[in-house]
Amino acid sequence: MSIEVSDISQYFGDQAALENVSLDIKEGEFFSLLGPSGCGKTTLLNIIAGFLYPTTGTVNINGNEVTDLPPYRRKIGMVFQNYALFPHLNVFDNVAYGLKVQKLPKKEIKERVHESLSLVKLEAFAKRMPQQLSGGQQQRVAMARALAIRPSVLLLDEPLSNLDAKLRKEMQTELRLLQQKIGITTVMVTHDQEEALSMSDRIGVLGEGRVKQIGEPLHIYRQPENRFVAEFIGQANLLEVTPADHPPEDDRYCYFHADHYQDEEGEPLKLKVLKENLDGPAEHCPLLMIRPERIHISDQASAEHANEVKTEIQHVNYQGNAIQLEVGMQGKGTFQVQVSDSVFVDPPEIGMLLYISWKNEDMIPLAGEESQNAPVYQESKK
Amino acid sequence: MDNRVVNKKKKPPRDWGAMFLWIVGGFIYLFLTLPILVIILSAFSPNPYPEFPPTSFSLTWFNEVFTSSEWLEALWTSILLVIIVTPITLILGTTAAYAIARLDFPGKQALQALMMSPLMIPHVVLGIALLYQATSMGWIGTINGLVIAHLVIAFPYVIRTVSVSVSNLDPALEAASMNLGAGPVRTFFKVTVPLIKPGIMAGAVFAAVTSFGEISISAFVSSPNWVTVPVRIFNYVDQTFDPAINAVSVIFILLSVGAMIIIERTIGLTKVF
Amino acid sequence: MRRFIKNQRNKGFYWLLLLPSILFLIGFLVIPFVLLADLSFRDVDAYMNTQDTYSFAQYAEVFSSSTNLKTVGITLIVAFITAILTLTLAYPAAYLLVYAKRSFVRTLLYIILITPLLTSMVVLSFAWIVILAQNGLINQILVSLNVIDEPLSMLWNMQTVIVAYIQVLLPFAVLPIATSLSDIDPSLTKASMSLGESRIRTFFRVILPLTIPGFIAGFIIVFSLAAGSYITPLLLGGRLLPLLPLNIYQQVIQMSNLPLAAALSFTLLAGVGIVVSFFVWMLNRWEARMNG
Repeated sequence: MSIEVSDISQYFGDQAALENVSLDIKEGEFFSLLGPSGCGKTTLLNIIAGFLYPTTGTVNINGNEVTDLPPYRRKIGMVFQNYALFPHLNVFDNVAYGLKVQKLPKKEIKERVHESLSLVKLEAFAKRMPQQLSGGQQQRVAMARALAIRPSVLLLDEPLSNLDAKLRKEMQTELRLLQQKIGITTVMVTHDQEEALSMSDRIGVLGEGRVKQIGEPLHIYRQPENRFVAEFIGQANLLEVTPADHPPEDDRYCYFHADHYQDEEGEPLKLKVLKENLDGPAEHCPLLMIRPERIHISDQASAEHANEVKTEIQHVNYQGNAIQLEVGMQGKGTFQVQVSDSVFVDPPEIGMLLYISWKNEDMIPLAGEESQNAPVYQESKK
Repeated sequence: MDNRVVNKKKKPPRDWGAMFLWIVGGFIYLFLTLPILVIILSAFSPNPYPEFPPTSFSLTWFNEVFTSSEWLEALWTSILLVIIVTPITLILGTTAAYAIARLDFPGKQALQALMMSPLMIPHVVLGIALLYQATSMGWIGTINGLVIAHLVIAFPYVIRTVSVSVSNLDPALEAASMNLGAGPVRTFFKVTVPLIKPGIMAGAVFAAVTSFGEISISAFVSSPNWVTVPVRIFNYVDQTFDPAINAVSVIFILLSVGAMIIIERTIGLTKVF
Repeated sequence: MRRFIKNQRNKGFYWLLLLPSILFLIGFLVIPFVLLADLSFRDVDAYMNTQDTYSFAQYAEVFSSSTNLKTVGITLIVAFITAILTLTLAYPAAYLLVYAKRSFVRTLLYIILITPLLTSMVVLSFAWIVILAQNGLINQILVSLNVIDEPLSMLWNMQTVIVAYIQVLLPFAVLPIATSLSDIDPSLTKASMSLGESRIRTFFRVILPLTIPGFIAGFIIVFSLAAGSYITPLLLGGRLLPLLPLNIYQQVIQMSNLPLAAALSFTLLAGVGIVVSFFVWMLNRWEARMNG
């Protein structure tokens, strides 16, 4: 079932936790709310679940407004960060909890509990108390309990954040497969970008109580719309640019100066971007982003790339499969570069000269700070 | 995008359950305060019986208390007991609470239960037990019976407050002290005692307040020469109605409020209760 | 080896600190009870003088007299009713204390709760006389509002004693329940509601079971204090109420029959002990169940 969140604002006193947030989550979709702590993502989840009443705005589930409904009338399955298993009930009774509310016959309750437990492969643990289970098992019981009531939508509040790294990876896959098998509309809150990127159909990035961007994982990563998204998800080289004069014969390109990047003579770095890549006139583009892994390196200059810069290695961070380099221009300004381990035979050394370059289309123009409030909402409705 | 302009603020549906809870809870707290409010109301009224609403203000009853030799004698006995009982229970309770936290031996829990038992044992039973002992020891007519009774009843409170402080004390600090060459005695006085001082202070307040207000056992072991204020009240109320008791009661209430402030400032009310 | 010796020496020091208290407890808590036990098996002569001979005469008197047995029963029942009523009222009070949003409200509630704890029992009982007497507060208000013509007689009965008990003992019940309540993870309530359970039924299915430790702790203390107190019943209910502590007090003060009072005391101790042990057993069972 679909979830529509329209114009939700939530104030705690004068403090705005959410401001004019609108989301349109489609039937069967796995949607992640991603953002740093304090961005309002948990507040939004609590509003959808009905634990908080929004200051303004409405929540619709499958076209019916539920804003005024108490949480227990919404038929929403929820999995909590700490699982919130009832410590006085065993696994069976935990899963049966919501079914007993519906006063189902004993036999049916039994069947559905076993069905739910088999979904999460825990049939053998029905008689255990929650305290006797491992973290991963508790997480799965929490899933089974939420699913047993056959909810219209499933809300996950940082469901995997209490698990260790290895188990978390396994559970990500398991959870996603389970969600696809049942086909239930799911909203997950997380601060872990990798988790959001790998599990979701779409991601809503939240920052400072506002929606910063909504889109598919690939799109969010490759085409961030603003500085916040670019910096929060993955690493980014952000170049503040000002429009520059361009030779009259070449009007396919816009020309820019990046004043914080200078060569040994103090000349600012010159960049040119295909006009069709820009949203509007050059004056409206204050920032260009280049992902570290989109930068190519070479030990000699070549004429091939238009965007080529002579740099010196300042810092080497060996990560096993990849090497993270910080390279500086000879005047000022540094770039983060990520290359595969296989690029170097011997590890690079500080002080080495390096020519870095990138393709024109790998320079992503970003909206500046002040235009962050621009409606980023229509993009998601493809 | 236009729907963003429609920023109508909506009222959440009324939470009747919470309102009901606050009303019921409010009445319960009112019920709890009722006796204290009534006492204060009556103590400052010139009439022997409480009036509602009060019509005038008077200190008649306080005057009566502080000019009556009987009340003053009782007050003196009570104060004397506090002065004797507080330091002794403090020393006993502090050393015991600290030592028991640092020791591990079979029967430790039983000993702890024994230490706290005066709080649980029906006071009427404790009363005759101590009365019979005092009689056997030939303490009739002396203050000894009262002193022992008050020591027994105040002791668990000191144990409790000091235990709270000791459990908050990092044993590594004592280890550090001994590692630096101080012996256990020196460590106890130079490190432990200063660090558990809040618990000791709160224990002192408890011991004093408990001793001052104790009635169930005192009524058994007091003798005509040694009557505490609560026993005096008890005897009076049992026989007649004396409005001066209202004024005496106000003194008790003030003391308990003062005690609360000290406990809150030292180890915090929430920790002891 | 050195370390071992030092450790042993510390232990010696700790035992030295503990010794005075152990002696004190033996001298003034254990011995008095041993003496009392001894006393309860003594005979008395016609003038209630304690004799040197031993017998079960006192216990025989306690258990052969239907009045005495009835008194024991009533004492336990009254204590039980008091405890149940007190704990029922303690839940809303503890809820307010734990979930009050403003800190000044919480502090105020705390002060209201603790003041009676630190105020002498005799003062609180006296206050109830002022409230309930013929010319007391309630009668005055009712008469002035023309609800009644003649003042009601509200003192000298068991109900009044129970009401006063509840007021005096309520803090003992609220505090452990509040501790239990604040230990409950708030997301459990949310989980219950997300599974479709209303707030009130969530209380009975989740909150109440999880506050069982606080409930039992509160029950034990309220029950034993209510069963063992004679001050409040004596002042508000009069000497004639069939309550064991009152009876014991009478035997000592008026009859001077100390051996019978001692036997009654051990009967009271046994009665309270059995009830308390039962609740402790329940608590242990519940905890064992929780931990699987």
